[in-house]
Amino acid sequence: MTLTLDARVASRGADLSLTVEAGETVAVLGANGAGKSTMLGLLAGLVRPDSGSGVLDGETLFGPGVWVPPHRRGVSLLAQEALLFPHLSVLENVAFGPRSSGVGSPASRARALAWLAEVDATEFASRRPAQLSGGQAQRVAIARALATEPKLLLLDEPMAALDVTVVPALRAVLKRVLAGRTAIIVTHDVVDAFTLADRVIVIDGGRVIDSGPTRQVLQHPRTPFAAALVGLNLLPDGRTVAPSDVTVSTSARAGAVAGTVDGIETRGDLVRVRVGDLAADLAPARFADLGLAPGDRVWLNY
Amino acid sequence: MKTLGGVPRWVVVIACVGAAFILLPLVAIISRVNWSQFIPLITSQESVAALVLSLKTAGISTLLCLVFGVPVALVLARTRFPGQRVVRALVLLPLVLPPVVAGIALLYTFGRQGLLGSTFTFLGIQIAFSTTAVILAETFVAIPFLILSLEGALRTAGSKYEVVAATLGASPTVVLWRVTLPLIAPALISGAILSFARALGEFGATITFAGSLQGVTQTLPLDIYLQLETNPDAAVAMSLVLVAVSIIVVGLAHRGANPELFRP
Repeated sequence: MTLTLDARVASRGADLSLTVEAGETVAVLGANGAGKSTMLGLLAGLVRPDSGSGVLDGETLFGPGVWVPPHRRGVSLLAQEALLFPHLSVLENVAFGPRSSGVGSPASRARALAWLAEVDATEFASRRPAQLSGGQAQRVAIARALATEPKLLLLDEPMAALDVTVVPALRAVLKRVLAGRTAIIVTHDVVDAFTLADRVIVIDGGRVIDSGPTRQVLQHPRTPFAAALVGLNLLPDGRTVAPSDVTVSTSARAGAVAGTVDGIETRGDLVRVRVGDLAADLAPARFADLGLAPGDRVWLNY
Repeated sequence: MKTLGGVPRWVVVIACVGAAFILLPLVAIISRVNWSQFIPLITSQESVAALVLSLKTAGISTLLCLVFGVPVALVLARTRFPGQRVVRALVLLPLVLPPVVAGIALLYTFGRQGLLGSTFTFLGIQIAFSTTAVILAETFVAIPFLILSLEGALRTAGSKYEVVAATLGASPTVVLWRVTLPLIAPALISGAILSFARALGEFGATITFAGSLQGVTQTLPLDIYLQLETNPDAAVAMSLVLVAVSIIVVGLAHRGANPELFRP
């Protein structure tokens, strides 16, 4: 195994443990504030744990009496924002990592050009970051992160800040460069998890609450969060039901569960009604017939 | 009430009075210049010696401001330690301290009877009333300008680029040279120019701590002050030279503060 993490950070209420095999890409799912950023921070060396240890490729990153600073870890971090250095050209940005680790200038530039080609960004080499669109900048940022030849690549919602129209192309680039690479990707997007990750872990309240192969975790969700990600309701008995299979009525019926309408949102040609942890999708006409408003008492059948 | 671009007319009137208050003395100097003698006056041996000494000492003290001010600004902006607020307030003290008081403080630090005086005497170095004293006095009063300008820029820039650089394998020293300093280059340049301007105009601390010895410690402001009694024409001519230098400095500082300059 290539990466093991087991660490506690009291100030953030986190107690995280994780194992990533060599060449494996793991998607980390969880609500905001669940501890995903803490996990990446621990691995990158930006967050100091109160106790625990992290070992990458047999080298202790941190542990009792050991603290390897971020620049000596061989861990690259790709964030939501590309954060290209504004005073350097695109090529100099990508060559920054190799240069910093002592590779000579010509060799660094050659390596940078190779990685720019890998992400289809060669044409931007001489541009300034300010002249790039969000998607272009993020492609360059991927090249920059990979040019350091990291032992571990961390991706923190790398596509969350991008225009939706450029996401599919960037996802294809990531799929290509992540193949066979040890990586952890934090995401809110279930499509990312399905297309990019071999395995998924779900974090809630600073702890890993579910973990396993992507399809197993997401198609048979065991947590309300994982169920909601794939658009399913998780029932108390562990079964799942699609919101479109839930029927709503305003009078008591046999076998129905009573509840109060918490929220109503329009989703394309359907209206989603939230009742506690459950969601029901209604046709607009049906919704109008019921005359539902938040706070109304309803009965659900599924 | 009528307004001009949203500004009430009466504010514009007061603004004109304020601007006139600043500009009129400049006009007064120019009107008193003895133009027929201008060139000989500003090229006299005494004037040239004072100007050269002023530029030399202000230049060296600007370098000292950079060498010591940049680390101070970095430590104040990026680290956390007990008593930091007190240290920040005290470091900026020379900004508000009367320069004469600064001169006395330096005299009792580096002078023969001063705190470090015996150390320097032992080393055979005499600081007070030397060109070194001029440089120290100018650095003392000018360094807060650089620290203030840089610390603000460092806080505004934040450390997100530095974090990225570290995860790309750059050591803290490499991050400083290749990321932090280039990113705050505009503030670095405008801060250095402001420090240079403050050093160039230094009078009170210099005359107290360094005296007024022609060619050694008599900088241009000191020379102008002393000439006012004996040769007012020379004083006015040299004043105009300082005004010209100041206008150039203000212009450069404005350009230096413009980040667009750093994009090709």
